[in-house]
Amino acid sequence: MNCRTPTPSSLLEHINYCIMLIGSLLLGLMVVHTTLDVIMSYAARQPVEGTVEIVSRYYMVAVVFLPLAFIQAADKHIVAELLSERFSERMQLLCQCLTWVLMGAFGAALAWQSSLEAMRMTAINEQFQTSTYFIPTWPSRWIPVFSGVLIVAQALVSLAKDILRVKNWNQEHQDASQGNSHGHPDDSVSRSLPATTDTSI
Amino acid sequence: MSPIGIGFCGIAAALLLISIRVPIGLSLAVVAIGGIASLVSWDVAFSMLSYSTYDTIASWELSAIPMFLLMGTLAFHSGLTTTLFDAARLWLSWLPGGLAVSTNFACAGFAAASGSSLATTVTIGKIALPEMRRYGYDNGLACGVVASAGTLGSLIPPSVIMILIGIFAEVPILSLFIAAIVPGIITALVFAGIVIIRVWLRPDLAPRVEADASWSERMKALASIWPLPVLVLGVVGALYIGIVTPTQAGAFGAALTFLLALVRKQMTWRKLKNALWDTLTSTASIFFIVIGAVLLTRFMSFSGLPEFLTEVMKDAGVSPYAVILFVAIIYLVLGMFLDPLGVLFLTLPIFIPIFNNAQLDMVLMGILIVKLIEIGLMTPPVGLNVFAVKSLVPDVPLGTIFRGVAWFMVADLGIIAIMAVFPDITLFLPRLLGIH
Repeated sequence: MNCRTPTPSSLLEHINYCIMLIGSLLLGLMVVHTTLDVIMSYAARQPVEGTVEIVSRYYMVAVVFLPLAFIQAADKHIVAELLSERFSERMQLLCQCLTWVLMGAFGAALAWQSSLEAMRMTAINEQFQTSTYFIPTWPSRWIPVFSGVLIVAQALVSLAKDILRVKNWNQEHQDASQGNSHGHPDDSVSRSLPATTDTSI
Repeated sequence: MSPIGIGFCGIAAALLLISIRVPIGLSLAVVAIGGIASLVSWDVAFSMLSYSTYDTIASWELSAIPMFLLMGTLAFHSGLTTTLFDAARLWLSWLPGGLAVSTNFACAGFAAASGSSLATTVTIGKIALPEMRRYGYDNGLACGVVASAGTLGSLIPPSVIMILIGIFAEVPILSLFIAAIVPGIITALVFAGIVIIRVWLRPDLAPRVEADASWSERMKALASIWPLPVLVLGVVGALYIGIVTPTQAGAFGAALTFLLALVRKQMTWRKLKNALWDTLTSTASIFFIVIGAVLLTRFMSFSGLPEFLTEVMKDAGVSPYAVILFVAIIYLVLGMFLDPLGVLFLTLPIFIPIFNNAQLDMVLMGILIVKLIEIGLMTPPVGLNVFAVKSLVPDVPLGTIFRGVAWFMVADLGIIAIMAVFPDITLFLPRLLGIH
């Protein structure tokens, strides 16, 4: 049996994959829940209690925050390639490193600030009242915290990979200039760079 | 530095970050946090991050977006597009440039089920481009019509951009949806007219395709697209009657699309999983920009930049038409370089107070903004719809596609001018229905 120790990168990939599956399930449930509410409202004059709050506080928060680390890893963020296309491969790689640093800082700030709010809401047992029962909402406050931590982890892994690539690039470039190159110095970099811009609008 | 100076520097810094391929949402968020910190304090800036993100996202109104996105991806994965193009081809191929005209109307039809221009371009382009090229259509015409007609995805309701404009500008989404119907139909007809006139003048652009289909085949093809009118009537009808909110309409539309695909035996577990996965990815990438935009709006209000520009315009006695012209120029310039959401959220925090001050109708402005953003999808150097078409036909040079869309872009500018001069074209339908 092959018992390879998982690297942080492969572990994150698995976590991201599982989170995307959970997110997909929640997205499907959000549609079913809302549709059921519409049908019940008109067919049985008995809407599903708390639909608005559950959809907004749980489904929406999960559907938006959970995939953030995945879309970062899969390079699915909406970007505009304006100046970067004209940069050298090395410069593009450095810009990408800057993105990971900013993303990591953003994730850390999100996790930190959201955790303060989440702890406060957990302490007061934040909840909303339907006509017949209470539904706690404080657990959904922890979703952005979890998402922020994952964003930081993903940014660190991506940054480490790109720093290694910059180092390799420097090394290969040095070798090439000394006539010892075994390939084009840009090859390893260009393979790693995203090729297309992806957007949904 | 004065707060207004910091505001200007913030906009410049956001543009700089975006231009070096930092994700748009991240660029807006980082600049906004830095800006608020320099204007007020780091504590306030960080607390904004927590309040603004959670409170914005935990929104019933915004949850309409993933629902409508899912409706579009389900329509795509269930093969609704194939039947649409087939039906349009059988009915319209006798016209000069018939396949291009069919492509145009297939895009318009798919736009009624999808809220996204890129999705419309890619899904129809995948089927229509090989067909047009097989019959020897000019590459510029074939690619141009796909890239241009794809922009109808944002204009013909439902539209993700319209939902975002509606929420940010506090305009009823239903009013925007209804107001977009006539401009959407006019745009589709004008685009079809351009194809017909161009091919009529230069028949070599599109060899005539013999319409060898019998009437029974045509009627059969028309009957096969029945899910589309059912969807449109079901969703827009339910919204108009007022029995559902936009969010409920989105959920209802997604559920209906799923059921229609099941009835037509076009749905499998794999297709459902792919549709959910794609929607989830799109939703997160869109909302990441929304988070950045909300923070930027806070930063702008702290800087006082929107009020400053509003005062400048008021003091200069600028007419509403001049405001529209100014806005159009800004959108066209930014649209050349930025993604539609980037343009939208970089400008809305500044423009909304200006529109209100100039007493411009926000429904009209919302539709004009969508039209202007559509043009941005076609303009070089960053025309996302053109890039989407290029990804489908890698052997066609980008220059050929940009030349192909130029005709439609000029027509779009003409339509925008007419809409600005005659606002009733946009506003009469919502007024007639009593929702504006």
